Amino acid sequence: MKTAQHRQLTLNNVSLGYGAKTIVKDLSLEIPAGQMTAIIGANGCGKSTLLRGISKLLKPENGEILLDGKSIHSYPSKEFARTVGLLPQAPIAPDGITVADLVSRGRFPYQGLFKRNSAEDDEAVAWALQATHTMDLAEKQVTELSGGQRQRVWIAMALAQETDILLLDEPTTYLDLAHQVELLDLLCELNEERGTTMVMVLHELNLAARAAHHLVAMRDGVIESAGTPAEVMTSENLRSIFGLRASVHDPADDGSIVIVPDAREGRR
Amino acid sequence: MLTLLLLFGLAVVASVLIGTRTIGVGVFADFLLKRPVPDMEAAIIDQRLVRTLWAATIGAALALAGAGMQGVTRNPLGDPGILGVNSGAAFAVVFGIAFLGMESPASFAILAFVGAAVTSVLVYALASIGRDGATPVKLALMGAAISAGLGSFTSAFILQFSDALDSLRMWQLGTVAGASMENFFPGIFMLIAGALILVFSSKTINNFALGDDMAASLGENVALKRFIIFIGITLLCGTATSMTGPIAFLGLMAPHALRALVGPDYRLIIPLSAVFGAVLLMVADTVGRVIMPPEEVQVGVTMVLVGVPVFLYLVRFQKAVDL
Repeated sequence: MKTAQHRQLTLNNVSLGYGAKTIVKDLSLEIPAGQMTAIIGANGCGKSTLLRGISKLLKPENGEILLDGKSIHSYPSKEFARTVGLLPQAPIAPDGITVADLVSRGRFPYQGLFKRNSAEDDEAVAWALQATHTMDLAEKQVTELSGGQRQRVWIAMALAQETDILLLDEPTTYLDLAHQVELLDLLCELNEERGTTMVMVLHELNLAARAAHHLVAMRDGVIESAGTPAEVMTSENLRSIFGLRASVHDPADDGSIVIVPDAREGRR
Repeated sequence: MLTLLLLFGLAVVASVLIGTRTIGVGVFADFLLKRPVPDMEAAIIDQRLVRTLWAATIGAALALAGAGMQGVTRNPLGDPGILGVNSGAAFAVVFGIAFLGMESPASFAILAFVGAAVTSVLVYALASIGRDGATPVKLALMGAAISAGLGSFTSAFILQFSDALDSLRMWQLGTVAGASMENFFPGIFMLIAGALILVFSSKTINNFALGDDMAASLGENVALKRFIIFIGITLLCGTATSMTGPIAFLGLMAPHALRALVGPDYRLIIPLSAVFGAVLLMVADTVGRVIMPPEEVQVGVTMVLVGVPVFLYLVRFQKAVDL
């Protein structure tokens, strides 16, 4: 296992959008290195657009996104791919591909045009399979797997890429609650063991509070609040950011908070 | 893999031996060993060798183009026809006959290539407009729209200029019967260039198969690489169409068949499609010489006759595999 370097990702007055439509507006943000950051916010607030900007899929209209002080667009694309990885919302598994084959495709940024897998590649793939508990699925076809297994395999592919920073766009969508928890725990484990900086877009607030060290709450393309889960998840913020009436509890009194939406009128 | 090479060898031998006048295996062996062979036989073998070379080359080119197309568009129905290559070539040929007074097969070849190239560039450029560039869906829609438009112009010209119809009728059924070494040469370089582009892009096509976002996050410059691969595809199918006229179905089925046999890795699919495409077109051409004696049936027709049963067999009995 190669441990991740701490890389500094900084956004200065970044605006992102598609054509005439600006979605992320003049946003500045410092991603804490070596930590888990979750971006939360209502549908359409610009969370995914922000992630696309950080992963170089979308060029900023204004402002700059810096990796260790240098614009991400000045890095050669393979070098960038060895530093920052992305698990998109809807990756496609080619029919008939085996788990091992898919995971080894994460090694692309390390390979030449025709070179066969090096010992280093094999090692990284084996470690990625082990870390995601997918080793015994290695010879199975990805399309045969359950949703939870498949998502772990995609994470394994991203891990095989051995990046210092990993961006995840709604990694828990389509999973049931138990598998959502399992997947996020896996990501936390990887963050602790390897030191990978993770930035993920999450919808489920309780899970975001449980998994992340650092929360970034967005509304209409700007950051409304950022900080520890306890700082961000207040009932005032929930109301202003999501329009959600809810109370915030800390049952164990240790900062591990739980959000409970208010009961429906007349149901008390 | 070995089976495929064996099939290739058999197809070459069959294509040389079988025809209106059958050549004995012994005579062919004598010919290869440079022992004396009757002049008549020698001439036939010479001609058939050239024709076999054409069939193999064109078959390989079309299959490669199809494999590239299916890979980069992630479209299981991907086929060079999507770029409007065939309709563009046909339009240019009819246009040349009707307005430029062109008549010779050589001028048809140039017209067809120009028509194919211009059309595919046009389709690509129109599909590139707007967010996300030339996505697979936009390409398919643009290709269909441009093909339909050109097709109606082609029909209108044919109705106006009825003598164009005769020339076009012959051209529109792809054939390798007119094969000659002189006509082989300008085209082969373009085919080799296109083939090299695709072979060197096979890892990139593997990345495209995971979705554009994933390909980008693996370090691919998606827009640039897609454009380069399309140039390769256009070189291959534009040149092939200009050399033989349109031959349908091969570009669709060869990569599909290979995918069913070897799985989703384009580092295998691309080179093996070329071999398989060559085999298919040689067999189709050979079949065309004997099914309706004394007439020859154009390979554009027999390709479908041979291809459909093979394809149905593979889809039905192998584990059918999508993209």
